[in-house]
Amino acid sequence: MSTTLFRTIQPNHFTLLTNALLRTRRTSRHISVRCQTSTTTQQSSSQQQQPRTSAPKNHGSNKLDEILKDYEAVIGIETHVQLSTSTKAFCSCPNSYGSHPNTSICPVCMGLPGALPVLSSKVVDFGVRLGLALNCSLSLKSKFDRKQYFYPDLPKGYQISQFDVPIASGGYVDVDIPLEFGGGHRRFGITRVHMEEDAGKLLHSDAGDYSQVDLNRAGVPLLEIVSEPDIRSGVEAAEYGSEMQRIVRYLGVSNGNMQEGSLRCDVNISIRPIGQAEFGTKVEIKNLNAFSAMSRAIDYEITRQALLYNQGQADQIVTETRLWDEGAQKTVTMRKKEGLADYRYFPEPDLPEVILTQEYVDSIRASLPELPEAKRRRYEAMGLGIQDVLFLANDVSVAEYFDEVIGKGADVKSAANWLMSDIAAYLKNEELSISDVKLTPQELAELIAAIKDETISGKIGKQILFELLAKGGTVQGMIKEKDLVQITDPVEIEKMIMKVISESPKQLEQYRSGKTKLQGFFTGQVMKMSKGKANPALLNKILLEKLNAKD
Amino acid sequence: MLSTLQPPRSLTLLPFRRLHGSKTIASLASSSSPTLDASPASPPQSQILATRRSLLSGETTASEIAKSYLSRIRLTEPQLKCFLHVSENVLKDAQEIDERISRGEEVGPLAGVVIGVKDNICTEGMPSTAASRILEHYRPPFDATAVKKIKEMGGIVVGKTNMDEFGMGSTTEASAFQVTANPWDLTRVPGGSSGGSAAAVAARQCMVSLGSDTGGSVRQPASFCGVVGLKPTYGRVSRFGLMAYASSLDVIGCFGSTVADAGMLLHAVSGYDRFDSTSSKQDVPEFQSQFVSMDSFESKPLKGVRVGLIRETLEEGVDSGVRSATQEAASHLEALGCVLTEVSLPSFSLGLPAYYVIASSESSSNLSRYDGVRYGNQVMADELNKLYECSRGEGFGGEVKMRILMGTYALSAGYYDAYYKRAQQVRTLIRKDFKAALDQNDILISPAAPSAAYKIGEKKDDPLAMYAGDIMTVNVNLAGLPAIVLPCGLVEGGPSGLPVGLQMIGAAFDEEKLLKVGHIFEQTLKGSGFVPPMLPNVA
Amino acid sequence: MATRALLAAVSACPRRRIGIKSSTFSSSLQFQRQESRIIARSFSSYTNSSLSLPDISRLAETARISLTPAEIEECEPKIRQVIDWFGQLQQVDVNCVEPAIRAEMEGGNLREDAPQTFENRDSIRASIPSFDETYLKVPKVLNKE
Repeated sequence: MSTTLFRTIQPNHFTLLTNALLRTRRTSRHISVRCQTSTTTQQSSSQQQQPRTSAPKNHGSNKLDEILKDYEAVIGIETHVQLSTSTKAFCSCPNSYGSHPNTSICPVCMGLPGALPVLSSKVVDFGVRLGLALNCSLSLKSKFDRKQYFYPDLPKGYQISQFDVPIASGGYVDVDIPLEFGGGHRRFGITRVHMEEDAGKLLHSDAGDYSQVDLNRAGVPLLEIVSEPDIRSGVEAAEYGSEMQRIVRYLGVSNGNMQEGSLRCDVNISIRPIGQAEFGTKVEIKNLNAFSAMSRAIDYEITRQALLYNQGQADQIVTETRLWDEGAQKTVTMRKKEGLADYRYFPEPDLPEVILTQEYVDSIRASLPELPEAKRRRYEAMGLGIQDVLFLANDVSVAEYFDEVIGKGADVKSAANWLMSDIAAYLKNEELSISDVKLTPQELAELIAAIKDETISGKIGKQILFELLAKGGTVQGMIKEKDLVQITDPVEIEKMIMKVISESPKQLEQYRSGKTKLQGFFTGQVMKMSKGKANPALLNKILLEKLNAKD
Repeated sequence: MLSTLQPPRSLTLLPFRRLHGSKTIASLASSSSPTLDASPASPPQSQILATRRSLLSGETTASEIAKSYLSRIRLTEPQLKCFLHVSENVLKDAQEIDERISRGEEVGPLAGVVIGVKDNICTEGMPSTAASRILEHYRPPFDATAVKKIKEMGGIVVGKTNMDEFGMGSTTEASAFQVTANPWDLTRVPGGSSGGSAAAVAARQCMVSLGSDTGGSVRQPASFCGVVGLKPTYGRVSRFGLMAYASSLDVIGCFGSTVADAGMLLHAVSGYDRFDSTSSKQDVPEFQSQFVSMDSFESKPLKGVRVGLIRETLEEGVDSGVRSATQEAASHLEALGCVLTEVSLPSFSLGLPAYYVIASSESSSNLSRYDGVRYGNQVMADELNKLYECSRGEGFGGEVKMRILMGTYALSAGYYDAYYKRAQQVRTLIRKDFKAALDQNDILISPAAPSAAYKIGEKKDDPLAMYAGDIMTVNVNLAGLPAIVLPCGLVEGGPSGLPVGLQMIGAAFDEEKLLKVGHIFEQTLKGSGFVPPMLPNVA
Repeated sequence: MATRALLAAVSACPRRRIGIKSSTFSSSLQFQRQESRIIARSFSSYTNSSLSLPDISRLAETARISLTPAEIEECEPKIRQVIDWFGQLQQVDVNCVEPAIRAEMEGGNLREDAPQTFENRDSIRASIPSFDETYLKVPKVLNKE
């Protein structure tokens, strides 16, 4: 979790950057830092296009853009979310990632003869939560079905899933497209959300002449979210995926960790000439373990398909599953699909229907936390810029921290700035997450208040911030302990100024003869004398008066 | 046709007439054990209650009882082949009970009761193969809930009984390991698929036994072997640990030589189980109060009980002897005070194809787990699909393969609606028909099978002829209802006639009524006991 | 035939009360032994032209069951016969009839999300035919099919 936060928070420690830098930052923030790219996704696609034999030589970026202009991509995403329940979906085995292989097993998840599945109520709970968060209608009566195929990671020879009556369907999700990609809001339809069980893990050792199976993951609960084919680009897809990640983390139904496979996105993509109503041939892309990879894989795939169309080779676009090859930055054929797979679905007779009462649904609805979209709109309404809004709402713990700080009455803009600049930088350097820091939201609010009411200067504030982050304690205590209260008494400041002036006759003369740059020298001397505590505005005001006084 | 029916209180108690002497059987045919079998002059007595009485009074010990059953098994098993495995722990288990009794400790209601368990019901550490090569030597790491309950109540699992592989068959000939003989005629099948459990109780190799019933697999062998077979309501008994054949139809059922024994065993294994979410939370009534002694019967003990005779079960295709026995059983019920009517279940004949579509389909899915990867027999290969195909090809028998293929076909895209879904719609019609009939009747009656036990090998190669034998029972599974089969007469065949069973069907979760009616029927039937001819004395 | 007006709802069928003495029971019900068996009426072909006959080899491949040529030869006619017999279901009028997809039961019976370790895991692992102390071993698999 901490590394995840670090990844998402890391690029945001600069608040004032040029547009160009912002673009990089935005890409990486909303996609992933691990695979940071300094080009826009479309450019990188066109560069990778060069070595392909099917692509005409010397495809300039402009020419490619010309070609791409004529096509529209139609993208749907299937997202598998591994739920953070304590047990597996249909047995009481601990659901713990990273256990020794084949230790979290029992007769049920091993598919032993005579074993029967019993659904965990938590899975239903999480399904309802996610369904509601995605604005879906819930099926008060849904059922499980068996999806049948043989594979060593599938102990029973079928996966328990939901086929024709999923727990939730017909919803949508709203996302904000980052400014550098045009900005604005997009709404993507959610076809359905259904409950199912995960398969085990099949490991393909390079050396041995056999494959290995670990069944710890077999039976772990999943929610599969199927989007409508509303997505049009890699950027939109990455933003959709990020929003799913945010939502499941906000809801607490999953850790949403892509590297551990807790969040997996499979992309279905086809392109069609603009204006054409029917869809083109659909290709599935798998093995996308970061949103940046998803974005690049899609843009690569759009380009590949557009070029084939453009060259009159549209027939070479076939229904298949392609893998994203991170090393080569391209998609490669994994397997061709010969006809539709027949999973011989039928209703799971070992499980009763899943029946929800309206009261139950209402109680869950009432317990839902504020979701990312609502948070973003609220932050926006508070007057924060979209950059700040997106940053703060991106990570649920950051957002909660921020909400607590402003809940203590802190100035909204200041709180945002502190979080996005110094605190973010600290977290990055120390490789920590916001929940690890010793500084409580209460004390950050105190700090902001102390600066605002001029008890301490901003500079002092920054100094004690790092100490509070690392060691904790209270702002008031630290101010007292270190005698940091700002000097705001004009008489006292004047005294110090007069002392400095009287001790620097030479500089005074130079100043008065026109070398006004020396004002800084006097400021510095007075600050030094006050141990940095003099109120800078007051100091400068009085200093100018004294320096310019004709006596 | 041999009539064994007489009005109550006028039992003439003649022993069953033996029609043909059989040399094979003659040596074994003798009077039954005085300790274990009721005298032919009195109605059959509950073995479970008798055991409890004699143990608690100190008349005998669990060890003595266990020894007598083991020796009976030794004596009869070479001809019958009811067991695939006999437990090594029987005497040890019995000694434990004796020690508890001698220490004055409480013992469970099944203490010392010797119980056979069908081989598709998991017993921890004891082979459980469902009579399939693919599970040869497999020992489960857990007890089925039903077995766990039996053990907790002091029951002694004596061994695992033979069956048709995974329950797919009606003769027990489809076992991968052995063919079980019918104790009434060793050349005949004991029925199936729980043939071993039925024959073992008939031959007094155990007092009671567990079977499973997907389309009649408890009731039909009970009929063939002349014992009581009880198929509870779907959900009454946990299926946890029962190797699934057709999950929406499978139930664990009970065999006994009396209605009381079957009922008390059912009581022991019934109830909601958190490991089976299809098990029911309905209360399990104390059935034992129904098993009153004959002395307390009134002259019309079943006065006012509405009995519907299912018209379709006595139509074409039913052996005349079976038909007469059923009619006479109906008359007997009437004589006991029942109000008899004829009812029609219009969807009745559709049950058979619907059942076979559903059962094949579900089995094709349930048996996918037997792939040679995690347990069972594996045929190693250099390619994954070869491993699957060879492990399954060599591990499954012909009937199982056939049903898997048919089920695979019926569930295929484009066929699902025509077969599986349609069969489920027919199932709805069948349920409605039963519901209507049971709204106006307390119980429905029919034969348990269209014929008595037939010869080994007779129908082996004709699947449809074999399936036709399930016509009386499959509808009950499709409707999920409880039913009891109890012997009601003998027909010609074998050395001393062949038993015929009467099926009584009740409303969901009303096993109590079936047991009450069944018990009174049994206790008032002339010639009760239905002891097969081949039984030697227990040493 | 199977469809002989069978599907008029049972409740619509007039039921006859048989208040007869047992001695007349059998004649009043007209039980007659008939040579044909119940099943016999199903032997005529029900094959629906829209449903193709099963291809045993393909089914065996789907079900991952190896069959010898002799086995195919033996079971193919049997399977076709049974599937043909299944075909009688096509003639039933099931318009507006909900399928009974499972036994009638209460819904729910859910489990608490409380982890419990299965104690006898060693026994489970001991039953695995090919096990390398950590993993189950299967022939090398490249791509999921």
